Amino acid sequence: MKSGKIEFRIGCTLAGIVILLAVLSLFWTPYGINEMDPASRMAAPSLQHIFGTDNMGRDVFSRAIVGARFTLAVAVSTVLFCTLISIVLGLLAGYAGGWVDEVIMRIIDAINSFPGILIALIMVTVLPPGNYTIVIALCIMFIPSFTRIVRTGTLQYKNADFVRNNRVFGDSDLRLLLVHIFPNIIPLLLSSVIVGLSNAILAESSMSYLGLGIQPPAPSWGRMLYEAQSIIFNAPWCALAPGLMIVVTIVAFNCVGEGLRKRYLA
Amino acid sequence: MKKRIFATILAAIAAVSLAACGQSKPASDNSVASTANTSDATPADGGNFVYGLATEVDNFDPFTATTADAKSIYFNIYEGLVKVNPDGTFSGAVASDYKISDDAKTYTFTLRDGVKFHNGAVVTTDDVLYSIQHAIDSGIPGYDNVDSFEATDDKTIVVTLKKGDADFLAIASQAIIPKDSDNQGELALAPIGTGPYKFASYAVQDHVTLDKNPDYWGTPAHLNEIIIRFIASSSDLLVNYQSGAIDGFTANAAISEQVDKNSSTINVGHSNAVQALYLNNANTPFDDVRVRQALSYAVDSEGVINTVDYGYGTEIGTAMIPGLSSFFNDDVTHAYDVDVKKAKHLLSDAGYPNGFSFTVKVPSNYQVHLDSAQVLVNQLAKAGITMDIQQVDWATWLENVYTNRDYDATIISVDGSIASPTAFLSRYVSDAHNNFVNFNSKDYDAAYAKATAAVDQEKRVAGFKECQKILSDEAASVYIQDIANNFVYSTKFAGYTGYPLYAVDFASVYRIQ
Amino acid sequence: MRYLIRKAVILILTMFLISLMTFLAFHIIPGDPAQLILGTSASAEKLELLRHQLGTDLPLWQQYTSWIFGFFRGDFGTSIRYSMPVKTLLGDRIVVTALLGLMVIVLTLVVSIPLGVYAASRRNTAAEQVVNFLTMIGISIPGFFLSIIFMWVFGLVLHLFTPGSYVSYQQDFGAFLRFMIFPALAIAVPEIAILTKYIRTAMLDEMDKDYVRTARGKGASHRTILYGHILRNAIVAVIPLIGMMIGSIFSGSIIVEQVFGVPGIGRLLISSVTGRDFPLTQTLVMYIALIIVITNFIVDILIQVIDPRIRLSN
Repeated sequence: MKSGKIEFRIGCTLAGIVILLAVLSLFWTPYGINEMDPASRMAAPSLQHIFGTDNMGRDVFSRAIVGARFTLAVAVSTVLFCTLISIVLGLLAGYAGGWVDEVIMRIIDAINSFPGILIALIMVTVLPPGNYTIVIALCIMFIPSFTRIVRTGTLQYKNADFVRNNRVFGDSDLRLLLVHIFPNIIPLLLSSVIVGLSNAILAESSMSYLGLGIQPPAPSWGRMLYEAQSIIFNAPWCALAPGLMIVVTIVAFNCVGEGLRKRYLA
Repeated sequence: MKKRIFATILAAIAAVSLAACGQSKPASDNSVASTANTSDATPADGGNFVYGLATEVDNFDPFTATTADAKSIYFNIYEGLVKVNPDGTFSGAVASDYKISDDAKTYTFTLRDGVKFHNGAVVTTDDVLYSIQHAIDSGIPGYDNVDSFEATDDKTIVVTLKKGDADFLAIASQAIIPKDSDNQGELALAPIGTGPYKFASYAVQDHVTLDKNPDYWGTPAHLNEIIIRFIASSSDLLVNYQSGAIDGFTANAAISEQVDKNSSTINVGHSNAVQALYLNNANTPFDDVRVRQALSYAVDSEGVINTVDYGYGTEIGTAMIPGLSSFFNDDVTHAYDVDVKKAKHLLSDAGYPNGFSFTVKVPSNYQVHLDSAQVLVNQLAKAGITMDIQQVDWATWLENVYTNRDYDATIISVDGSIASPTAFLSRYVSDAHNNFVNFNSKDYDAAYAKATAAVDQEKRVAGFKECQKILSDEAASVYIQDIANNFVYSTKFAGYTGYPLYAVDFASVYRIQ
Repeated sequence: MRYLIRKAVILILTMFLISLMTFLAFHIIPGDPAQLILGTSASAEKLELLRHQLGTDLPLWQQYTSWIFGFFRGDFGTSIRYSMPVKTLLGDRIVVTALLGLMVIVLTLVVSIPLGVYAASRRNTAAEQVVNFLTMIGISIPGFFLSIIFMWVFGLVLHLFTPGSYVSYQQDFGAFLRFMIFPALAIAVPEIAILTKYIRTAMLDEMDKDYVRTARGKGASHRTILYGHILRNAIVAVIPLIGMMIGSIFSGSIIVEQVFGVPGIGRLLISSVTGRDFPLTQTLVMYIALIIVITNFIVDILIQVIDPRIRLSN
């Protein structure tokens, strides 16, 4: 489809730019991310500081691109772990049915109707500090929707003619699941994974905004936005830079996901 | 989409309200910098004033509400037998006069004539006796020292202490309330006092309204109505002020410096709390005095003040606020001026020639402490010390760090419950229940016991100064500053007077004609 | 009927699980309400006294059972923080949040139905692309960023409203609405984007169906087909979305109430969690979960009433 292609290209370009900046930050940033200079605090964007400086005189651009790196790393690992766990749970629930399905789905229902604040707070306080804590917290929040997708897909193909035929030929359950059912779910899962990335970015920035995410002085977009909130009138660039980075990145992944969905499912 | 829902719920805590905490306290003193010209203004009576408060006060009972913000509000509603003055001394309030015996063991108060509660009743000795007993029952600090109290006639109250306490006037500023008015904590939502303002209405998480008390015994207030709005977080204070939703607020310099100075008056004050990088003296490597000293040499307090607080803040060097000027030991303020070489030297003596790393737990609702932590990361790095920041929510901080002492280091401002040196120094006694830094020094325990036992003012001062000297020598923690806490208000108003403890005196504020 | 009973049993089971999870969660995370109320200068005796008054010194199972028995009797307990009955606290808040939610729903429907129809009827044109682009942006903006931008642009720069000057609906309903329009808009933007996208997609799907071709063959006007048949069926297809929307409006209102200073359910939930106010949090969580679960329940039934073709089995 034509529209899908355009979206896909736009998405890839934007995502490419963000990823490139994130990679660049590994080797070079114009200033140190925690390099302070009270004399030039809240300076407007200029040639020295293209995104301006924050209220402690740190370079917003340097922080924003390093923030891209942290955010992407968290988002990718979250989606990766979460997808793996969800595939197991979803296949199991969908294929086994009965009480296994019932137990898995009830727990997932309850997690789903449970305020995320509490989940995040528990994870962050119970687990030892470190950046993987936030990944685990996000994972728990994402597993319900991913598992549902896999389960629905499994149900759809479980009773399909070709699966029945193979069962008649004596294929084991595991073989049926992995060789015949699972590959058919992949396209459905793939676009969800990409959209899941943008959701993970959103969730990570929300967590950081609450002070539950990556620890300072490591920059993250959510925290930068929180810190800039009070000076929005005096130094709007401090909030706009991380905010727009979040929007652009989410748009990029949504476009890619949408493009993929249209290509495979339309 | 479900994921989006979670994300949003999470984001919601956003402005995780300072609500739960009782640390940021409006208070100010001596150094008043008026940036706008208000000298030719004429005071006008009447009108209202909307004050923004970044925490939420949900209890107005002076016997259970002990957070600084609650105190700052009920300062206007309640009065004690005596009341603090802007210069830190005390003068009569519900009592017109008082006498202190030479051994500071017997305090005699004479009731003022015709002081009325907000409910119209005249204050009697019965009310005073009830209030004192209620303070003892409620465990208000300092009242455990009361041995007996009685009304010798219908105007005179005599309080006898177990041991002499020259500070008892500060303690006697605890609210006087009508007899039997607070047996079940009824005052929490319906306060009755004798102050210049009376409680009018309260809407949870929204505002509390105070009306002028027309029957006030002293100088009546100027403004007819004070509306105190509860703002979700300190980062919203500025936006609400800039939009005109509030007429004034109290905040640290990082926020107060952002206002338009042509239309605002900034009253520079102290937070009257000790900001420090508190070290858990029981944990390695902070059980080694050399390591603590090394940290003190590596930290540049002035750098923190300049970077985080726009230069507003007072270096302290010990666990005492400069506001208690007679007790403050300024000899040790600069005992550890920044010296990276010395820091490194001390570290290698202690067995850390290549430095070490530790985690600092910082309550996430205090931007000022988080910012300070980020400055310290840079400063400590120069001495080869790696400090990792871990943000924790306020309730978690209180339980894990403060109560259970499960931490290596933390950054916080510690305030005193009363305007007395004991409020700041008692926590360093080895077995004090609130000794959350696990400071352990026999010398200190002896010095503190000696200081508190002294009745003679000169000896008391010398004793408490000695305590501060020991804290400095032992580098109990890395003392940074008394953060400036500035009262900002619109130039449509004037007159604000600060106090050396938590109080926002609305009675002093008036509208300019 | 069996279907209904089964659904109802699941509903009750889910609610019970949620209450148990909230309770356990609350006691895993650190934080002592008594210490929070009294602050750092409290004495040990005073803390002990308050813990006893609050009942937080009782064994865990006792705290839970007393809460749950109370809940069934309609007694939600007393808020630890605000020292007033949870019921009283909720009363006003529910109205505020419900009004906010209603404004969001009205805004969403008023904007997204015409927009979705428009985009679908201009298939493969530049106009459709513009709508697609806008919905993509709308879906991608985090609520907290949107709120901050609204405060800045509409509040501080354009002075269209005064951030922080919430007016109670009882005091002045007009002023209440004028203030609430901005928070409502901040919540509505992503909802509008999502609904527009779904309506557009649903309509495009309908357009390709046989009955449309038949109707067209019979000579029905473009307008009749578009509004008489396609839109009606498209809306039916969108109904399952409503359940999710209610949930997301609720969570959207949490952050927006916080940023705009609206005293509703959302702001109360946050302060109850940070204040470790268990009776209040538990009731709020149950309340919000109940609304979401019941909405989904109603949506399920609605779908069947409207379109009995959908099988009941799953």
